Amino acid sequence: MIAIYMEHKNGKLKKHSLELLTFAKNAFEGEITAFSVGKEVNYQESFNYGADHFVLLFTENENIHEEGIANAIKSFVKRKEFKIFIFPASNTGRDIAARVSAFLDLPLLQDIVEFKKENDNLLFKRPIVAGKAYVWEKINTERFAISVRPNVFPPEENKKEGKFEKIDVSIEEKIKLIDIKEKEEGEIDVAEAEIIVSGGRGVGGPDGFKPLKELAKVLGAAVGASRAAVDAGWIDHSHQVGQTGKTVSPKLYIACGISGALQHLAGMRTSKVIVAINKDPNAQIFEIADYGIVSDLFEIVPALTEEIKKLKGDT
Amino acid sequence: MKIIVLTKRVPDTGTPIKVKGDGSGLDLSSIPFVMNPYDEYALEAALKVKEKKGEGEIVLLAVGNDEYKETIRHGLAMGADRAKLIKVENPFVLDAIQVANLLLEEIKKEEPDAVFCGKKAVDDERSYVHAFIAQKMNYSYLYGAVNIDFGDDKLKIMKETERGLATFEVPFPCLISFDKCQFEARYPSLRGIMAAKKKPLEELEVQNIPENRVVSIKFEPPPPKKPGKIIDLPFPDNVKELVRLLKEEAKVL
Ligand SMILES: Cc1cc2nc3c(=O)[nH]c(=O)nc-3n(C[C@H](O)[C@H](O)[C@H](O)COP(=O)(O)OP(=O)(O)OC[C@H]3O[C@@H](n4cnc5c(N)ncnc54)[C@H](O)[C@@H]3O)c2cc1C
Ligand SMILES: Nc1ncnc2c1ncn2[C@@H]1O[C@H](COP(=O)(O)O)[C@@H](O)[C@H]1O
Repeated sequence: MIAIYMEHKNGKLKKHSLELLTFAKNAFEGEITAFSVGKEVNYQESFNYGADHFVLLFTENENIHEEGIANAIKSFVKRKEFKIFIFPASNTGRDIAARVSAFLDLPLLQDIVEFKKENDNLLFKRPIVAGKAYVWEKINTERFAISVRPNVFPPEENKKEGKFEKIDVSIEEKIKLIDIKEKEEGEIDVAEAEIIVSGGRGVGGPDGFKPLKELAKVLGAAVGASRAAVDAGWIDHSHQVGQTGKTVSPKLYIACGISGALQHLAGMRTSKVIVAINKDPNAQIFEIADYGIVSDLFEIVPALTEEIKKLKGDT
Repeated sequence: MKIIVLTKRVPDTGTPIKVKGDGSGLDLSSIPFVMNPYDEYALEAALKVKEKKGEGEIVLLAVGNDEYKETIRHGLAMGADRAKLIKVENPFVLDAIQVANLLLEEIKKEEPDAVFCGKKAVDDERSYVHAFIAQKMNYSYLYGAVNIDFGDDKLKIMKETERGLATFEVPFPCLISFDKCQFEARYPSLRGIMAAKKKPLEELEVQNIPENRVVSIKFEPPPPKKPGKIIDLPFPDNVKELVRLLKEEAKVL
């Protein structure tokens, strides 16, 4: 049996978690049990994408530290029938994957992007050295855990008559939250976004992000940034894409005023479609861009926002 | 106060790294090696805590070969007090649990107040060693710290969460893994470099290592990217063409 940890936001299962159901069906054999920690989860959605069971580890506690979440999961995952554990390779998903795997003393491979069967062996591929190479690995034990990169395996509908189970859990944590600077309402996390509009030193200052934010809004996109923009203090680090920021694979990445340094590419080169807008025709970013415009971003970005508004208005 | 800082030696990922022609590994022959950048943040954080507390000992701990000594000297030059190197001939063939178990033995002996390390090693990116150690030591564990403050004998750790930038109080004993931090790691001073030569670096022999559970089979370069299109039209036709291509060709709008 396969156990899949699902993340949700205010009870709605995240897309990257639904992707895991399709991944599991294609990679492994056996019944799929999806599980989440929370108060209320729209679990029916998991049955639409192939879960045979859904277990809600119920708690009223709106805790946000992974220590508590992992502790809530521990007694449930001890069930002997679970052989394979799958987690989303989001920031929290990787953290929880590592805690739960360590608790169960299981080998863990993080951030899987591909799998294949070869002479009865299952091989998993994941990026290493900041995306400059990939490694195929084999796990020698029957029980193991993996985390799977978001936006790589598109979710496919696969309706099941799933069974729902609710288990009360208590959240135990020694780590205490003492302060939080809440994000702006509606802000989309770059790590999960399907479209990212990203700005670099070329935006010229904090105000330079305004046209990018407007474009992001009409696209339903997240705003990303290069380290140069973050280090200059124009936008906070949670937006940074790259080796020392987030690794993303959206379906569309629009790089505005970003030169395309190796450390930046490390975080976004697996994006499906890359658009570059840069004044310098020799900027490295054009080497990996699918579409490029050599021009001033302050001319192009607002015009692009208007064009897309028109397009969305039409359809 | 005793803090252990885990220090891994890694190829500098800022340089172009290639896969060997036969896929048997990475070609690292002319690549410079550095201390794992996230471990450097961890060490800087430990130095900050020690300075704030006014006393304490910082111990570097690594599983590696002879070449690791250069990396460890760098950490000692930054300000760590002493180091332990668990010697293995080929650190590259060990899986995360093997490495974690070797580190654990020494951590148990040292009984530190805290273990600091990186959120991942930038070479093999397993992101597992920390959680494994925290679990086996039954330490509180926080992943991905971006800042640290120490006062009244308490650790306050900042971390990016889904809801926003959060501050947590983490009790001792604990393990903290560091992300890219809001502060920079210091460069060793000339005095630090001189002093490092005299600081103790203990080398430990390993008897037997339990079997691998994960084996690397084959290495691959990233898939080649098909050449892109520069949309060379006057404004605003270039924007209109871009939107058309995104909608009709790439089908992402
Ligand atoms: C260890 C390490 C880790 C790092 N990690 C990261 C990381 O995670 N993420 C990251 O991004 N970087 C990282 N870097 C930094 C990286 O090397 C580059 O310095 C950084 O990515 C450059 O950012 P940039 O492209 O915004 O700035 P620049 O390289 O200065 O490029 C700005 C670009 O904007 C263009 N431009 C200027 N004005 C306009 C305009 N009006 N319209 C259109 N184009 C314009 C210019 O032609 C130029 O190409 C790291 C570096 C190191 C050493
Ligand atoms: N061989 C090693 N020696 C010392 N520390 C290590 C070693 N391997 C991993 N670590 C530590 O564990 C962290 C996570 O590594 P990893 O799980 O391999 O991504 C690193 O940032 C290091 O601090």
